[in-house]
Amino acid sequence: MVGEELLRVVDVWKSYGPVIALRGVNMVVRRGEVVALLGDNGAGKSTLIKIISGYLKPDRGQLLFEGKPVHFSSPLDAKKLGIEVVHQDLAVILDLPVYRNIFLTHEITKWGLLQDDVMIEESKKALSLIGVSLPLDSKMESLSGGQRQAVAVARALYFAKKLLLLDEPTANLNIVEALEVIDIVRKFVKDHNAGAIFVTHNMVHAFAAADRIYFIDRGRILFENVRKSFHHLRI
Amino acid sequence: MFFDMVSTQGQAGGQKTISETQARRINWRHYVGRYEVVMAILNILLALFFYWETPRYVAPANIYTLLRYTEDIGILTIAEVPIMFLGLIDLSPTGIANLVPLIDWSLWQYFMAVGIAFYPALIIATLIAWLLAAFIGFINGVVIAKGKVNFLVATVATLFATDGFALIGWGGWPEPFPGADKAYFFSGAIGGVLPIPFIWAFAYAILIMFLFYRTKFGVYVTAGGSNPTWAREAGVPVDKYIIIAYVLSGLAGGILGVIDGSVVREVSATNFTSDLTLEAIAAAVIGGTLLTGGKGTPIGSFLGALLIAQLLDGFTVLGINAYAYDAIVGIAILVLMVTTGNREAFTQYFRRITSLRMTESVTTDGGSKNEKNEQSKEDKDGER
Repeated sequence: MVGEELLRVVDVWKSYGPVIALRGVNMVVRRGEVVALLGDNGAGKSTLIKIISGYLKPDRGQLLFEGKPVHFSSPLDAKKLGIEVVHQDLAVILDLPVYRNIFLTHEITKWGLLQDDVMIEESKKALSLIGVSLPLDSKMESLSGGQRQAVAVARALYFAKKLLLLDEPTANLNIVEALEVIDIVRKFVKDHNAGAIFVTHNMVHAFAAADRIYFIDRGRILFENVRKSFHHLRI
Repeated sequence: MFFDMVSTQGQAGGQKTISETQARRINWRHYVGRYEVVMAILNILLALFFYWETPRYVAPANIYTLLRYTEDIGILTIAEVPIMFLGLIDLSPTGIANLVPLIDWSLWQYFMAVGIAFYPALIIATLIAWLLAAFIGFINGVVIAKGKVNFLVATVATLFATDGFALIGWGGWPEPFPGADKAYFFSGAIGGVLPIPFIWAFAYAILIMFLFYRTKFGVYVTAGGSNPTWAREAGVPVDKYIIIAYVLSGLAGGILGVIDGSVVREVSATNFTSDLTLEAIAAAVIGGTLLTGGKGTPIGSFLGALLIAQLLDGFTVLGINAYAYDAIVGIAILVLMVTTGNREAFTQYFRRITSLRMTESVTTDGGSKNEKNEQSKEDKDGER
């Protein structure tokens, strides 16, 4: 069931010097739906995700979260509202242990002291959300690409209260693993009545994941489509 | 189940004991790794060597000297560690250590002139001077983190500026500063063996180690140096922790200047030269903290400072001249770095340059650093 509006992007522009990455993007995410953002390389998908997650500021335009205008000065502001993101580069820290990566910027402290035991226990729960188990105290650099992706997805699922942003979450995965991630994300969104934006340039993954698809090209949303009109294409 | 399964946890009963032992094992490994052990062993071996050469090495007077050297280098080393974790360097502490005690002295004179008693005047003046030292560090941090100025340029500028102000303002003349008789809490010695300055340095080291191992500070400086872009994407306030690290380093310079001024009973604009900072950085590197950021150990680096101090002190006791000390320390750093660093790559390279097949290329360079570079390149490509 698709519920009330969660996020509205209104006429967002962003340029890097002479390169205009976004030219007036409008989009809507409602509770309980997965929205796919489909586009070729350089279309502006990652830029849009970085703006919604608070890492970049838009040159023009506005974000409305739960109907209220929001201005993020850092990713922490977005995290406070329950927006979590899996970046394309994963944004994991290779020199930190797995559990410190899961709790990065969400550290559990008591009188300012890190509660490692609690974080390790909770990390197991976070990883169990996607059905993996990893050596929590080993450094991130000892993990494979797929395992790093697992950590990034698990921590986003664990901390996302309202909105989940996934930037190419299936890039390092094989076909079966990718479809499993898609199922996990869909289940998460339905169970928690949350919203999700699923960025990909793979049309099969977009069709499999999304209730609605935005197609973005050279900084503009070309069209949007709802699931029922293409669901027969689902593999 | 997807992804490569690596199961480590037992599922059956007794879950709590399993997690407790696991946590204890993590804590243990958290503090003592390869570098800490290597540094401890090297320190013991070096001490035994000097003791074997001359039993005077363990005489109380010499222990005092050794701990004084350790204090000098160690307080700057431990302050450089978080900065080096962030992939930066601070070259300014000795400038701060020259300027700040002079300001302390002037404030102290002023407070006494307006009728405040000797000790309250000294303590208030010192605290204000240390605040100023922290503030100079703060300026360093802001210029580097927010102004995006290269850290070497910024801290060298601060070094020259502070040294210059000290020379302009106080003319390079030594000013009498209360020594151990009047200010025991700065420069006294417990039992003639344990210098109070060493206790100051050690306490500062404990403070930074505590921040590093037990609070967010350690997590964020590691993240900020390991990969600044990814850390920022994950929401780590990297700039804030760069500023905090430089504040701690500036404060270390201020503390060092005042307590050493008290030891030699005078403060002047030429009490310290930047050699001390370089020794401190060398000690941190020897102790296992890399200049490239993200990797290292505060405990190992403090032991590295002890190692450098032992070399300095041991050579003095043996009567080796001061120039030889520089040469030997330089060679010792090179040897230590080659033997404790990436030996395999080094021997590979050595084999290659000594073999006749000069054209054959060496392909073993897989290390996380290299991998990281590749990934950050991808990151830049994928930015849009």
